[in-house]
Amino acid sequence: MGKGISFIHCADLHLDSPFKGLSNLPAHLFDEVRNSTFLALEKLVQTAIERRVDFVLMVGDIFDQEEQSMKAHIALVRAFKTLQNYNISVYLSFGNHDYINSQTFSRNYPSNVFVFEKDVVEAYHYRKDEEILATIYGFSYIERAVDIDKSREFIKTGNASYHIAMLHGSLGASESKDHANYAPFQLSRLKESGFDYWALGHIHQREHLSNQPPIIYPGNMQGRSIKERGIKGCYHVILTGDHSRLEFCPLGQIRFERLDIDTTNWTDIADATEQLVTVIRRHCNKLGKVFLEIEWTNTTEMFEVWQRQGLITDMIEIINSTLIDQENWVQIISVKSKQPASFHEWHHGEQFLEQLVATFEDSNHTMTLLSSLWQHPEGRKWLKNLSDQEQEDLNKQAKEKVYQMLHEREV
Amino acid sequence: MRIESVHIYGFGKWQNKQFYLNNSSLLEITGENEAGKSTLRQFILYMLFGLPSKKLEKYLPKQGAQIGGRMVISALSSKEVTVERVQGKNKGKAIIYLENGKREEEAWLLQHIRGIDRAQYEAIYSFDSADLRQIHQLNNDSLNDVLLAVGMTGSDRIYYAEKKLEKDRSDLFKPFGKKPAINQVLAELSLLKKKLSVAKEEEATYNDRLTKIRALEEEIVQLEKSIEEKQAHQLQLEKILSYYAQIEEYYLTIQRLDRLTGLTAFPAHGLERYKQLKEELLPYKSENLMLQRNIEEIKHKLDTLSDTVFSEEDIGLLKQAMELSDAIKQWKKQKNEHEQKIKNIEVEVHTKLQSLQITLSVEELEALTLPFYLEELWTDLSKQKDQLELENQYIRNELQALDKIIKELKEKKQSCQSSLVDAAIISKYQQEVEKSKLNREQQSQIKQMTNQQAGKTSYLLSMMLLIVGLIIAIGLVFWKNELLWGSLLVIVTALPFIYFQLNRRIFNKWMLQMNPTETFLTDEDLTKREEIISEQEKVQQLLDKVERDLTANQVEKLKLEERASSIQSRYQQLQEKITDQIEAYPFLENIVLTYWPKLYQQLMLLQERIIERYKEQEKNSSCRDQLKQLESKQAEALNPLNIDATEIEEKLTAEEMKRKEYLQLRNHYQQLVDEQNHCIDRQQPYLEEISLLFQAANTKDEHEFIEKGERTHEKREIEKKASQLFDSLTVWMDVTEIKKIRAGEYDDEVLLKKQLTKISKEIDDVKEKWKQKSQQLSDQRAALEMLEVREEVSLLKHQIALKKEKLEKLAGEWAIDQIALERLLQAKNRYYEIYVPKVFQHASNYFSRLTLGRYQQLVLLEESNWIQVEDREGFFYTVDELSQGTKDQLYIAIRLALSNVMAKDLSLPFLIDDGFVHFDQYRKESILEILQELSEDHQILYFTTEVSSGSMIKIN
Repeated sequence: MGKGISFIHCADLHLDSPFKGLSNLPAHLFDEVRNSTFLALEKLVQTAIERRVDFVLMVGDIFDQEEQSMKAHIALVRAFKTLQNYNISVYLSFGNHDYINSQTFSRNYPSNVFVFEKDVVEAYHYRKDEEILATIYGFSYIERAVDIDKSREFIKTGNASYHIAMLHGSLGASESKDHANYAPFQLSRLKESGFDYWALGHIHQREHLSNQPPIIYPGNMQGRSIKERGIKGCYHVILTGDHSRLEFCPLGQIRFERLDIDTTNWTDIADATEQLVTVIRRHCNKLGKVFLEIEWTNTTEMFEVWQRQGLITDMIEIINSTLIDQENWVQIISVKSKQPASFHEWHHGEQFLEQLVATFEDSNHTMTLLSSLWQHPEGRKWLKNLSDQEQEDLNKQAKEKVYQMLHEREV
Repeated sequence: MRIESVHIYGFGKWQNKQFYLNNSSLLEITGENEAGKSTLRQFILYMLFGLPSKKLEKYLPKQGAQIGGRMVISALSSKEVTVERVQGKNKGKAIIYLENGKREEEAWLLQHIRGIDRAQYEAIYSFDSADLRQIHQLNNDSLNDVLLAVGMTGSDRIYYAEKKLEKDRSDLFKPFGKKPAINQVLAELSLLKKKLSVAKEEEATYNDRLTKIRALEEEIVQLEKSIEEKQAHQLQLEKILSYYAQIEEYYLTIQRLDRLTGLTAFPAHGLERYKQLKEELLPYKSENLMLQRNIEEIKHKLDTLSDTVFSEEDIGLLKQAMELSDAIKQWKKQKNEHEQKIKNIEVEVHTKLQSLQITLSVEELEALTLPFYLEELWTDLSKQKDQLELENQYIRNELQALDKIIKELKEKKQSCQSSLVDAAIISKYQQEVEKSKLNREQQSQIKQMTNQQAGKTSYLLSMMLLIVGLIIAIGLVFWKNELLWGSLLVIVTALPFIYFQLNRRIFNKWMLQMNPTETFLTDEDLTKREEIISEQEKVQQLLDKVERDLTANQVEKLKLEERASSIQSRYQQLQEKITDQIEAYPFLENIVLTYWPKLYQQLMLLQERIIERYKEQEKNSSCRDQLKQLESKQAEALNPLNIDATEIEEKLTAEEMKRKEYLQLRNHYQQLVDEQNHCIDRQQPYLEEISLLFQAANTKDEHEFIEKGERTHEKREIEKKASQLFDSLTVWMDVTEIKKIRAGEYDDEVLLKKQLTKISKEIDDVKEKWKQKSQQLSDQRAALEMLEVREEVSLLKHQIALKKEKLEKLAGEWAIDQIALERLLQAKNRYYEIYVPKVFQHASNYFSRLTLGRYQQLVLLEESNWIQVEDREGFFYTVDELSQGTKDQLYIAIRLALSNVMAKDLSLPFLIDDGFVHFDQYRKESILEILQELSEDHQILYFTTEVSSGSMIKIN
C-alpha cells in the first residue's frame, strides 16, 4: 500500500474569454465579466494551496483562442509562480483553441510547470521524497484539429504507483453542435487501459464518464453563456491505492441560470414586477452573481399587449437596475417565450392584405432583403449568415409586426 | 350597401322627415340652394359614422327637436337592417336593428362596411366640387395612395406602418449613414478592431523585446568589460607616471652606487657601536672628573679643619661641665620650688587667718597647742546647748497645752455634776425594771417548755425506736450471739428515750418552782424607765471619765515642771564649761559656740601648713648646699678651657659638630678615592672595545674611524634606497622592466603623458556608448513592463465581443423591420401591379367618354411617374397641360374607375354633391351615363340643383 496522491484536475480555462449573449453591461459588471476567468484561475490556485495538493493538471484550452492577450499570459505565469512557492507542480497540455502553433508568447514558465509540447503522447514523472509517485501522460494539439483516436498512444511505462492520463477530446460517437469532435476516443478502450485516472478536457459540461477507473470531464471553470449554465469549477482528486475520492470545488463566480416564469396570473404590471423580483431573488439566493435567462410560460393576451407596448422591456430594465446594486447581482440577459406569439389570421378579402400574405409566404429570399446590412462592407465583417431557422423566425416576427401595425386599435 | 329610406328626427333644417331612396339605383336629389341637400347628405354620413358633438352642434335643430334619425339599409347583410342614431341616446352611438328584431351595436355596422371610416368613405364615395381641386397633384403616387386607400381598409395604417417601419429601419441602420444605431456600432467595432490590432501588434512585440533586451544586456556587458580593461591600462599609465619620479630616482641611485665601490670593510654598525661606547663611556669619564674634583675639595677642607678642632680630652671635659650644669640647673630649680612653696604657705596662712577674723596672729597660732579632744569637746558643748534649748522649748509648749486641757476638763466636770439625778430614784427604777424583765423571761420559758412537751410525737418515736432496738438486740443476741453488739444497740436506742424522760421530770420540777409575781409594769413605763436609767448611767460615766482625765493631766503637768527645772540646772553647767574654754582660748570670745568645732578644724589646718613650711625650709637649705658643691666642681672643669659657664652648651655643641664634620670629611674623602678607582676600573672594558673597533676598521684614531664609518654608511644608504626603490617598483612592474630601467631604458615622461590622454579619450568614448545602450535597455525594459500590465488586448476583445452581441441584436431588430417594410412594399407593388392597370383601363374608358372621345386613354410614364393622357392624335399631355374642365373630368374618371374596381366586394352608396357643376351639357350627359352604369353596382345619390329626366326626389 503506497502513499496517496492528491491533485487538482481542471480544463478549458479559456482565459480572457468574453461572454456570449450580453449586449449592454454597466462598467463594473463589464469588469467583473472580464475578470471572471482570471478570478476563477486565482481561486484555482488558492484551492490547490489550501488543499496542499501535489500537482495540478490543466487539460487543454487554457487560452481562449489564437492570439492570446498579454493579460492571460501574465496571469497564467503569475499563477504558476505562486504555485511554485508552495512546491506544487503543474502538468499542462494545449487543446484545440490554444494549440501550440497559435501561441503568441513564448512559454517561459517557471520550473514547476511541465508542458506537453508534442502531439505524441509523452510522460512526466512526479517525484516526492526521492520516489516516483506518479507518472502523468499527455499530448498537446499542434494544429487546430486532432482527428485521430489518441487513446491508443497512452501506454503505461515505469512502475510508479499511479498512472494518470490527460486527454483533450470527445467521445467518438458524440455529435455536439457546441463542441467539435476532436481526438475521438472509445470509452471502453479507456476503461481497459489500466490507467488509474483519465483527466479529460474539451467538454464544458462536467461529467463522470466512468468511476472505476475515474474518467472525468471537469467542465470549464467559469460559464460564458447561457449554454454553460450552473456551477463551474474543478475536481480535487485523491487517489490512495485502488480507491479514488473526488471532490468538486466550485470556482466560477458568475453563473448563468434559467428561470421559467408563469405569467398567467399577472394583472398589473407593477405588481408583476415586484413578484418577479421576489421570485428571482429567491431562486438566485445562494448562487452568487447570476446572468439569468427568463422564459415566459403561459403568456396571456394581456402579457402580449404589454410586450407590444414595450412594458415588458421596461419591466426587465427596472428589475435589472434593482438587482444590480448588490454584491451578488442578478441581471436578466434575455427573455424568451415558450409558445410562439399568437400569429393572427389575416382577413381574407381585403385585397391588399391578400397581397401581403402572399409576399410573406415567399420567404426564400430573406437574405436578399437583408443584404443592405449583411453585405455592407462593415456589416459583412461582423454578421454571420443566418440559418434557415433564424430566417423563418425573423419572417414570422416581421409578419406579426406588420399585422400589429396595420390592425392597431387606437385605445 | 344600399340605403332604402331615411327618417330624420331632427337634423339641421329637417325635422321629422322621411325620404325614400329606393326608387332606383341612381337617384337624383334636387333642390334649390339652401334646400337642405347637403344637410341630407351630411345626415346620411352622420348616420353611418356619427359626428363629434362639436360638429353636431351645427345641425342642432333650431326648433328644439333632438338630433337623430333612422336609416334603413339593405345589402349589408342578408336582410334589411335599420340604423338608428340619436344624440344623447346610447352615447350618440348607433343601434342597428336586425330583421329579427335583434339589436346590434355600432361595431356590427363598422364590421359590415369593412371598417371603413368616414374620411375614407368620403374620399372614395363622396365628392363635391372641392375635391376636384385636388386634381393638380395627380401623380401616380397620389393615385396609388387613393387606390390603396380604396383597397385596404385603414389605408393610413399602411401609410403609418410604412412610415414607422421606415423610420425604425433608418434609426437602426442606413447604408451610408453615421447616426443610426447600427452604423454607430459598426463604426465603434471598426475602431475597436483597429485598436485591437494595434494592441495585438504591441503585444506581439513582447517576444521581440525580450530578445532585444537580451542582446542589449550582452552588449552592455561587453562594453563594461572594455571599459574595465581600458581603465586598468589607464591606471597602469598613471601609476607609471606618478612613479616616474621613482623610476628616475632608481636609475640615479644605481648610478651613484656604482661610483661608491671600493670601500673596504668596516665593522658592522661600526659608527653606532663606537658612538654607543663613547656614550656609555662618557658618564664614567665625567664621573671620574667629578670625583677628582670632589676629592681635591675635601682634601682642602680637611686640611683647614684639622687645625681648629678640639681634642678628645677637651671635649670630655666639656661634657663633664655640661653634665654638671645640668645638675646645677636641676638643683636650682628645686631650690626655687621650695622657696616658692614657703612663700605660698605663708601667704595662705596669713590670708586664711585674716579671713577667720579672730584675734589671733600668726605667731600666736604657731605657739598654739590644740589638743585633739578639743574638737570633740567643743562639738559636744555646742550640741548640748542646742539640745537643752530644744527641750526647754518643748516643755514650755507642753505646759501651755496642758493648762488649756485642765481648764476645759474642769468646766466639763462642773456640767456633769449638775445634770446628775438622785441615786435613790435610780435604784428604784432599776429594781422595777429587773422584776418585770424576770417575769417576761419566765413566761417565755414556760412557753418553750410547753412546746417541748407538745413534742409528744418525738417522745413516742423515741419509744418506738427503743422497742425496735430491743427487738433487734434480742435478735442479735439469740441468733448471732453478739451480746456486745446487742447491748450496745439497746443502750443506743434507749438514750433518746431516757432523755425525753429526764426532760419531762425537770420540766415538772421547774414548773413547781415557778411563782409568778404580781407586779407588772406596762411596756411604756418600762421603756421610759429604762431610758432614764441608761441616761443617768451615761452621765455618770461621763463624769467619771472627766475626773479621771483631769487627774491625769494634772499629774502630767507636775511632771513637766520637774523636767523644766532640771534643764535649767543643766544649762547652767554648760554655761560654766563654756566660760572655761573661753579663758583657755581667748580668741573664742567673739565666736558663737556652734562654730567652734569648725574653727578648730581651720586652726588645725593652718598649723599643719606652718609645719609644712618648716619642712620646706629645711629642704631648701639642703638644696642650697648641694648647689654650691656642684658649682664649684663646674668651675674647676671649665678653668683650663677658658670658657664661661654659660657658654658651655654652645661650645660643646659647636665643638662636637666640628669634630663630627672633620670625621665626616675624612670618611668622605676616603669614599671618593675608592670610587674613583672603581670608576677607572669600569672604564676599562669600554676602552678595550673601542680599541678593538679601531683595529677592525683599520683606523688609528677617532677621526679616521668616523670618516670611514660615514662613508660606509653612505654607501649602505644608497644600497638600501636602491633596494627600496627596487621593491616598490616590483610592486607594479616586473623584474625585466626594472632591469631595463637600470640600463636606462624606459619611457620618458612626455611619452607617457601622451599615452595617458589617448586612453582617457578612449574610455570616455566607450562610456558614452555604454550610457546610450543602458538607456536603450531601460527603455525596452520599461516598455516590456508596460506591456506586461497591458490589458488592452483583453479589454478590447471583451468590448468587441460585447459590441458584436449588441450588433447582432440590433441587426435582428433591423432585419425584422427590413423584412416587414420590404414585404409591405412588395405587397403594395404587387397590389398596384394588379389593380392599377384595371383602374387605368376603366379610367381611360370613362375619360374618353367624358371627353367625348377627345382623349383616348390614360397612361403612366414610368420614368416620371406622372399620369399622362393621350389624345386621339397620339399626343401626350400631362395633367398640368389640361384645361380645368378636362382635369375635373379626369379626376372624376379616375375616382369612378377606382370605385368601380374596388367595389367588387363592397359596394357603398356614392354621394355626389353637385360635383359636375363645371360640366357643360354634353359632358353632363356623359357623366350621367357613366353614373348610370356605375349605379348598376352602386347606389348613387346625386345631389344637384338641376333637374333632369332621371328619377329624382325633389326637395323643397
